[in-house]
Amino acid sequence: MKFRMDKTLRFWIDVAYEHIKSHHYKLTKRQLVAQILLKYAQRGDALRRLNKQGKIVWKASPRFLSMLADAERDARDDLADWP
Amino acid sequence: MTNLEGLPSYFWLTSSRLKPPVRDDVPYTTEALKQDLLRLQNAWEECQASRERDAIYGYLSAVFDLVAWWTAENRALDRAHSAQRLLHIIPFENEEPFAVVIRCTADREKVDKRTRSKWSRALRYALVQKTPSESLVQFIKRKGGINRCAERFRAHQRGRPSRLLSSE
Repeated sequence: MKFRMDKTLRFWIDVAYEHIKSHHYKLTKRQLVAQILLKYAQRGDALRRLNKQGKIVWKASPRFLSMLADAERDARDDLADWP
Repeated sequence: MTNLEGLPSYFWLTSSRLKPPVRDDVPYTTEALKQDLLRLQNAWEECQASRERDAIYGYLSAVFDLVAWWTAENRALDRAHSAQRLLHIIPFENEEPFAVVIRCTADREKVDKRTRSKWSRALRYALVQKTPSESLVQFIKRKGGINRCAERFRAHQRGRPSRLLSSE
């Protein structure tokens, strides 16, 4: 069964998966995604909660969302400074 | 494949190396527990810094969400005990998970035993009665507030209707 995730987290987990999959061709996608989620949870970027149906879902943490917002703001500022 | 150029490496994992053993599921590690407790401590700080009347609901919702997930995995009590061990907090006899988590994450000088017990009973009442689709704030307000939810839980435990239920 697939891991349930919110949209933001799904995007970044997919990015990480694409980045590392060629180094781990013997592992299944599920094993790789599990490892990425483990790492995200340990550094405080992903968390597990119950959704509106009472099922366990993975969500991007408030800290991760705030870091993404900062990165997006920096990128916009850099673009504005571009000659 | 997503173009990673220009993205801070943090967001796409700094290392592609994985540590064995590789599993199909995601274990709940001590580090992840530590991060969950840290988030609740931050929620507590935020609610203390806020002037909004309902700020406490932000903290209580965070506590509720964590323990509800633990409960869904039938691990609430042992994870609450792990949290105590992690923070070197002396366990109390028969203390249930919500009270433990509150003691681990809220300022113990501001949240006394009575308040902790009241919040814990209100949250346990929500755990038993609330549907997953309704938010904790909506549920508690609909049921008359934190004090009344705590009272309702006590009546629920005793197996008889609360005197407050008569006003429904």
